[in-house]
Amino acid sequence: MSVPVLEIQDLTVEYVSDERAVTGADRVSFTIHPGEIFGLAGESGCGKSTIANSIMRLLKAPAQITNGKILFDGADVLSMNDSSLRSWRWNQVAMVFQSAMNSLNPVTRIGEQFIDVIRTHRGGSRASALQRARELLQMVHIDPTRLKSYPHQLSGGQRQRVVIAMACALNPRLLILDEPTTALDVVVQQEILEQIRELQQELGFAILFITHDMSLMLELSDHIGIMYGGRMVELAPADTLRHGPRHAYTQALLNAFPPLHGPRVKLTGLSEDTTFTDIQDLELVGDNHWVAPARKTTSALGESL
Amino acid sequence: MTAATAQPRAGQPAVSIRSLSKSFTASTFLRRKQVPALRDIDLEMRQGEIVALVGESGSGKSTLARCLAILETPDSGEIRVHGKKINGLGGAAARRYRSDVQMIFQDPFGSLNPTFRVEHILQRALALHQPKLTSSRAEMVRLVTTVGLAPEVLGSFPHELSGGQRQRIAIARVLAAKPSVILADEPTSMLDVSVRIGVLNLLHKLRDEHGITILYVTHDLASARYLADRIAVLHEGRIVESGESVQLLDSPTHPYTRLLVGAVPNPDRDHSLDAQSRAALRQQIKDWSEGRNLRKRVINEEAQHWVLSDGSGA
Repeated sequence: MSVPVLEIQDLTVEYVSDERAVTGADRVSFTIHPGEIFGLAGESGCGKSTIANSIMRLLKAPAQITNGKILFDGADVLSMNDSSLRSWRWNQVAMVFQSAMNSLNPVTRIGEQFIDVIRTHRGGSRASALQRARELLQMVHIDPTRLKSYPHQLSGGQRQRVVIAMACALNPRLLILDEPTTALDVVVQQEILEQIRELQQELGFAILFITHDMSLMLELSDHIGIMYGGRMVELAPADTLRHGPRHAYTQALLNAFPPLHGPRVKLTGLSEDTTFTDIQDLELVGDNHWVAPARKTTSALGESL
Repeated sequence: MTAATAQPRAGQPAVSIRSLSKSFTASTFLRRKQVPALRDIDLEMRQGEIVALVGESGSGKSTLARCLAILETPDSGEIRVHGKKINGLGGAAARRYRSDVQMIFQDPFGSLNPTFRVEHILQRALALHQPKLTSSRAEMVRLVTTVGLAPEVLGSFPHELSGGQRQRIAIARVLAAKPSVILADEPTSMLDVSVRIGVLNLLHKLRDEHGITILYVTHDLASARYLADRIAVLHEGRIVESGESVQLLDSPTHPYTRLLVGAVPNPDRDHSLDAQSRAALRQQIKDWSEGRNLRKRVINEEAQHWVLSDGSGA
């Protein structure tokens, strides 16, 4: 098997305050291989974005990485100093944030922002940077003349595509997408995902894809990790997970999406007050399929539906 | 049922909308122009029916719900609820109307006052809409039980509850007004995926047990099919296709509906729309909506399935 692009081992992140510490991610481990799309799913507050931010070393106090390792191409990310971190980010790994379309500078033309990124990290002339920017825009099917536009002159979907193109500007080996389409309409979402797939085939990077939309995740990812309460509860190839989810939480999550065709059956999802506690370490239950045993409890504010 | 509305008679639609139009004025530096938000909308809802309004952002679905809640004034057309015209309703009549037609908003984090306990929030609604009630405590317990929560939540503040629980409290507050029509504007889009189904099931239960008519506004086709009896697809302010949910999504006819259906993520799909077929559909949508002689063409009488197409052409 090839050397993984990203290897996370026993990562623990704590949010420490004077009185107490809250664990954002608890002994999470997974690996992403070159060219693979790895999906990380779970609901708000389960630690997906904490993981993404710790990979990029973007966590700020009170968050602290208290345990574990992050290896990128075998190199330890957590021990990088500021200058190597600076040259590593964007060159090797780039991130698109949830409301990325609002992360463009509103008072600068798109083209300037591309030039800024490319020249800061790679140097070179303005003309060559501009040429690269044109190519990138073409890759995401936006007319290169739009380089002269300001962000507000583009639609939300276009802005999102510009941000994704910008993330790919330096041919990173890993692209982290944190809920890249949540604020967009379905048709636009489909276009963006298609473009991400196209770019991936062209440039061959690996993707860490974070979302709460299971049907989207199953359609796009090769490998999926399900998180709950800061822990990884199930880890499997997408097909395995789709046809045979083993953890009760994964089953509830998959059961929360009504189908578009076939008979109309009543779904249950996860009842409001069901929680999982005592989540153990992952155990191998099948071919590349890992599940963490846990205890399911229903609290006093019982659900009568 | 309040005094403002006549008792629903058998056969009389709960909501009846006739050629409703509404436009907004958009001003730019040099000119002002009228942007149509709703164009010639006809929609009828039977008592106890759940109808989903589906469309992309800007298609006019929320505007239609807001017109029904008299939060917007339509330019022309007529809305009748239980046979009574609501155009130009004001003052006390509007207040009575609003306790009969209640709205659930998208954001349960913003719609509950954070400084009061759930108790107080429900108490206020009860005092406003059921002033004659003697034991409001018992009524509050009944309300929270109806929405699937334990009576203990009455003592909690909104921030102590999860998103799903908060949305249930918002629904309990709506029920305090004893409405016969509920307008639910994207009630689940801010909630965690695993609890969305629970809220949809709750709305379904309210219809089954209390016969409440529900207008469900959403952009999520799958949830519309799950909850609603009938779906109306809105595009640029027009209802372009409508029909019984399952039948409509099994044989979508309008290119816009086909575009939407093709864009819903679906791991079981054998082939998804590629850029070319999307462009082709977009062109068709343009041709269809520019038709000079737009009229309803019935596709399936039994399922009330019709599509808006150019009557003069093929």
